[in-house]
Order: sequence, then structure tokens, then C-alpha cells
Amino acid sequence: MRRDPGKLILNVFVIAVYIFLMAPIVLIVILSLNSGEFLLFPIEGVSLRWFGALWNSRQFMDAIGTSFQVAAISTFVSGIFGTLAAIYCIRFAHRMRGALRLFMMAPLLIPEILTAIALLFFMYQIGIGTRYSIGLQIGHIIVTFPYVFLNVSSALFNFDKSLEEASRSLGASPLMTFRRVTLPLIKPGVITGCLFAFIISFDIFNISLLLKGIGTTTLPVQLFDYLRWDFDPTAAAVSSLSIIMTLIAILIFDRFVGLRSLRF
Amino acid sequence: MSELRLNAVRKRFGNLEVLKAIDLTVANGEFVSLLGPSGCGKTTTLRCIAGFEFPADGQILFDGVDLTQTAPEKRDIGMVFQSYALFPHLTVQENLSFGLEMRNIPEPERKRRIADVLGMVQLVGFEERFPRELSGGQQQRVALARALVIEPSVLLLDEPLANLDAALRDDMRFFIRDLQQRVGITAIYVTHDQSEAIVMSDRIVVMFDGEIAQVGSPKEIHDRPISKRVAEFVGKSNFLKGKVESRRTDGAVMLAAEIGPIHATAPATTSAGDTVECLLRPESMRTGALDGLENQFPARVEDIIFLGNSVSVHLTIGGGHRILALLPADFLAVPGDEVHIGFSAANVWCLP
Ligand SMILES: Nc1ncnc2c1ncn2[C@@H]1O[C@H](COP(=O)(O)OP(=O)(O)OP(=O)(O)O)[C@@H](O)[C@H]1O
Ligand SMILES: [Mg+2]
Repeated sequence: MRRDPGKLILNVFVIAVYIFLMAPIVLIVILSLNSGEFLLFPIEGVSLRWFGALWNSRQFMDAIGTSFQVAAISTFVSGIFGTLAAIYCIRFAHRMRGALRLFMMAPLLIPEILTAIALLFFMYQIGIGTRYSIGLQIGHIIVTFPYVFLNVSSALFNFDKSLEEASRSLGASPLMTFRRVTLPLIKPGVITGCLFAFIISFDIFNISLLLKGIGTTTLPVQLFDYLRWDFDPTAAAVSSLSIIMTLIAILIFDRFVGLRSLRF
Repeated sequence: MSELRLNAVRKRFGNLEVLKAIDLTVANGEFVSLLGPSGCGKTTTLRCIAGFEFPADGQILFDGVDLTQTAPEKRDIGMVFQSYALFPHLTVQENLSFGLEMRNIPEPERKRRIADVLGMVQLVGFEERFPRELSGGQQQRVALARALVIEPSVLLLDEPLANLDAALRDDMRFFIRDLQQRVGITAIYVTHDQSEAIVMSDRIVVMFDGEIAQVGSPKEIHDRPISKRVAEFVGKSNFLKGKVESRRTDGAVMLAAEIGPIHATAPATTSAGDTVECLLRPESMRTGALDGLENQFPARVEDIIFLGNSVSVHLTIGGGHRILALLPADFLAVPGDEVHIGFSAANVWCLP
């Protein structure tokens, strides 16, 4: 068999990229299984003791709980409003479409820290400040919203309108058409958007740091605080847990819509 | 089943007047084609009938009931789209069931009607397939079935065959026509393919620039076009210029044409002394046995193109006039040969 040098180079390149992307993840997981005291490589032995330590840490477990709650609420709110905004923008906003689109995407374009500072000022202006986590929640919704908006927009953009007309010609009202035809067909976009929203919210640092309510903290902020004083493998265990949760989210998502439907 | 009537329907998009007072009546059970070049407003007319566009002016009546401003879902239409527009997330069975569910038809009857219609379009056994698992022709038949299963009063089709390959397109023409006849449904069919319109329709509506140029049976449109533009659009044409010498009451005229004196047929508006242009279709020319043909000319063969079931021949007659003839494939001649051609007076039509 003749070997194609171009193909060989491509394969080597692709493998190198994968190693580059995957190595830190693999390393973190290995570090979290360390039986030694320090966050060092090579590890001294294999154990789950740091996962145990994580389980027993009030601070970390609370932070995980907060992060989950904030991400869930953000996903829910952004999911609904992002979808509705995308429908309005693509279907009904004719002349203003470009401007509206840009406006909806602004949180993506403006550095997160600016959004955080602006929102912090605003919360103090209206007299709430950081007494509750409300500012934190709003910040997360603002940042996750564009992900839903963008994904649903592109699903709607590629949508063949004659499908809706076909539905109308068969006797379905506009509302029925939306429920039976449009929504099922843009569902992959909605779910992808929500998945992004959830993962992004879980990951947000700047906004959480500035806007977290008194006595509450999210996982990335807690991790940051922890690593300033302690350098033990608990941090790696937390990271491994995040990775596992992300994988679970993707698997659930795959069951729902199938990653195959994201291919073009 | 019902009669459909358009009264002076006008439609504009911005400054563009797309439909200029369209008047049309389609009888119960009739198959009418809207034929015209791209951009003449065929789709717009159909979409006004369907209720996807609303005319600026005029009425659309279904069995005498004015539905001009009624939403499409309340019109009792069935529509077949050029892209088929099958719901990709539903199986064939569910696609067909959709319209029946909207009409609150109980499950057993839905099942029965879907089975009936699938039998008609020869797709029994495909119930559980998704549209993407079907060939183009099969998708086309599902689209047809979906529009028919709801037993609408009018069936609207917008270039349903445009995406099929040539052989399949020929089969589907007869298939759709046959199905329409069996069901007895009123059908409006949009196409820019004149041969499609001719073989399928009871009547053809020729449209140019948002106006109806001519309405008539396929034979009228083909043999007795109202203008040179219609004649050229509907098929291959030879045009002969001449002056009317004499005219009989039955429309037979004697013409002093460029190629010599010819017998022709003229509409009532033509009288002796007029200068006219006549249409002579290539397929109405004959060679060999010319008995009974009023017009006979010697001609010289210029070139021959073999078309499979016929030959397309360029001839020069009457001192250098080139005309095109479509002759049977057994026409044996080579360029340079002298032949005799003939055509009947009925096939020379003076354009009004
Ligand atoms: N939604 C619209 N907005 C603006 N102009 C339109 C719209 N729909 C159609 N037109 C214009 O109206 C004219 C007629 O369009 P229509 O689609 O009816 O043509 P058609 O006869 O179906 O042509 P084709 O054979 O290409 O499908 C065209 O000039 C087209 O550009
Ligand atoms: Mg069209």
C-alpha cells in the first residue's frame, strides 16, 4: 500500500493537537488520585482520599451547591428568554434585526469584568449591593443569555419556512404550527444553547468574584481562594469532579438530541 | 371539491406590481396550469389562493364564499411545495396524520385514510420511514399524499416536479394527472415548463409580467396562440410574414407570404388587406405523402439533428427562407437534398 506523506503529516498533527488539549485534563485526574500530601507529579500512590476530603469540606460542598443552583436558574431563564428573543429577532424584527442582534450579543463582546463592575455599581445604586446573591444570579443570566440566543438564532436561520406553511396548509393554527413543527425542529439549537449556558455559568469567575452575596461563593471562586493558602490535591479532586459532571451533562445531552444532529 | 374564482386580484411588493388584476375561474374538478416565465407572478398567484399572501385588491372566492382575507388553515386547501416541505422529524405515517389530527379525525379513520392514500401513491410499506430515508420521487409522492389525505376542496401545486430528474418527471406528470382525475379534485398547477402544462392540464393560463396573456385548452394555447410571445413560449415556432389576399367566413384565408402564396387560418379580427404574421409549428410539417395538404413547397435540407424519436430539420424554402421542421425519425435525407414539404391550412395560424 502506498503511503501518502500528506496524510501522515496530518495524522501526526491531529494527534499532537489532541495531546495538547487532553494532557492537562488527564494530568488533573491523575493528580486528584494522589495518595500524597501535595499537588505534585509524579504521584506517590493511588487513593481516593482527596475526594473524601472534598466530601467532608463544608466550603467546597456549599460552593458546588451554589454553583449548581446558579447554573440551573441561569440555564432556565436564559433558555426561555434567549429562545424567545431569537424568535423575535429572526422572524419579526425586520429593519432592526442587525442592531437587535448586536445588542443581544453585547455580553459576549464586552469583557466580563466590565459587565461585573457595571452590575456591581448598579446593585449598590439600587441599594441591594451584595447582601443577597441576586446580583450574582443576574450577572450569570446576562452572560449565558447570548449562548442560547446565538444557538437558537442559527437554528431558526437555517429553518425552511415552507415547513411552517405546509403545516398551516394542513389546518394548523400559527400556535399549533409553532408547537408541532417549529419547536421540535429548533430543539437541538435550544438544547445546545442551554448546555453552553450551564457549562459557562459553572465556569464564570469575574462576575462571581465581585457579585457573590455575603457568605456565599461559587466553585471557581472557592477554588481560587483555596489555592491561595493550600496546595493539596483537594483542588485537583474538585477539578476532576467538574470534568466528570461536564461529561455527564454531555452524555445526557447526547441522549436527548444526539451530538450527530449538531453536524452540518 | 369546489369552484374557485379570482376577481381582479392585485398584489404588490413595495413598488413592484406583481399581479395586475388577475381574473380566473377554475371549475369543479378541473386541472388548470399557470404557465409563464420566471418572475411572472405564478407563485404569488398560488400563494394568494393558499392564503400565504393577501391581495391588495380583488376577491378570492371558494364556491362563491369570499375567503380573500382568511388564514390558510381555514381554507380547506392541500398544497404541494417545490421543496416538498415534508416534516423531517416525523415519519411518513405521522406526516400524513398531521392534517387529519388538525381536523380532529378519530384514530381508526385516520389509519384507514392514510392506508388508502398510501395505496394510491404506491407507498404501502413506507409508513415508518423518515423523509430523509426516501428518494426524491418517493418524497414527492408523500407530499402529494399528505395534501390529498385531508381531502381538500382545492389542490395547489407549485412546480412539484422541478427537483426530479427528467425520466422520473415524465412518469410523475402522468401519475399526478391520473391521481387528480381519479380523486376528481380541483387542481391548480404552477409550472414554467410548457410541455408539462400541455400534457397535464384541462386548461392553461399563460402569464407574463403579472398579467394573464391567454387562457385556453392546451390545444388552443399551442395551435391558436393570441400573440407571438405566447407562441414562442409554448413551443418551437416558425413565423411567416404575409398579406391577406382574401378571406372566407370560416376563417380560411389566402395569404401572399414571403415564401409564396399559402392557405392559412385567421381569427375573426383579421380581414383582407391586413399584413399578418403566421405561426407554423415545426411538428405540423410533413414530407412524403402530401395528399390533401393545401400548402406544398419544394425545399432544400440544410442540416438534420437526430433527436431519437424524431429529427429536427432546417430547410430553406421559397427563395432562401429558413424554417424548422420536426419530422419522423425515418426521414432519410442528407444536407443538400431537395425534398417536398407540406402543411395544412389549419396549421398556419395568423396571429391576431
Ligand atoms: N416576498 C416578496 N417580496 C418582494 N418581492 C417578491 C416577493 N415574492 C415575490 N416577489 C417578486 O414578485 C415577482 C413574482 O414572483 P413569483 O414568485 O410569483 O414568480 P414566479 O412566476 O413564481 O417565478 P418562478 O418561475 O421563478 O418561480 C418577482 O419579480 C419577485 O421578485
Ligand atoms: Mg415560483
